[in-house]
Amino acid sequence: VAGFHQAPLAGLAMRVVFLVYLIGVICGITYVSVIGLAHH
Amino acid sequence: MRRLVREQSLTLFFGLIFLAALAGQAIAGHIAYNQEQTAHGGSAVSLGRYLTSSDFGEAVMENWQSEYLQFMLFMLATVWLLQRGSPESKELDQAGRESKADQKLEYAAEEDSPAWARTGGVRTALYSNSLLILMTLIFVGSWFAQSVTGWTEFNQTQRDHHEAAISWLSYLGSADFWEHTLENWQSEFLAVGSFAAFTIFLRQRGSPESKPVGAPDEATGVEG
Repeated sequence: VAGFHQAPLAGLAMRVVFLVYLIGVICGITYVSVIGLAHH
Repeated sequence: MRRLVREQSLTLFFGLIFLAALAGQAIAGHIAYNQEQTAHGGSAVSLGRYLTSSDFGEAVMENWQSEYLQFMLFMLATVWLLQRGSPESKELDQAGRESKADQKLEYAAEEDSPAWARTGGVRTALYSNSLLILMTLIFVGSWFAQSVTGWTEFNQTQRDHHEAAISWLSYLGSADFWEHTLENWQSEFLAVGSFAAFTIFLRQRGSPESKPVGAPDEATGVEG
């Protein structure tokens, strides 16, 4: 029963980890590209 | 909750030490930047100003691009290239993209296979290479970010020396850009090549990056 309740949460946690890394990397690259271009 | 954290502990651990290292880099970089500024008769800048400078951005991105290139190339190369005795290599008769049955694709998909592994066509082709596509996009994006921040830095130095600024395309052909690029690539390539070689004869008990301690040196593509 415990496993049944935890399965959706475990799936959600995997998705959160994936999205945090993906969005973090995209934001980092965008931020540095913008500050690099902003000085021109 | 504790179980949820334990099941994500690898990414949480690396995420946290990434943030700590980035903060340390920002602080040390700020101090070094201001030392350089004052040594050349300039004025010191605030930490906030340093964090929006191309000096900081380039230092971060030149390392990001090389890391993503390393993973991307390693993933691509290990589809076809082998290393006898290394758990990082596939088994010696498995080189190549493998059959649909081996990869559980289309007719060979299983009940719990992702939908795009089952459908065939463009979606399955895309999904079959999605990790490589993402790593390549991040590599190209961070290399671009390195190039524009490096270009800004380069032109700032040119102006300080009363020399003409150059275009972004000219900067891409400059020794400065390629030095910042290749100094990172060489270390990544060495680390990957030496790691694959070291895993032939050495072991780390419990690590999936190593063979089991008792596996023979000849064992290839066997993970712990």
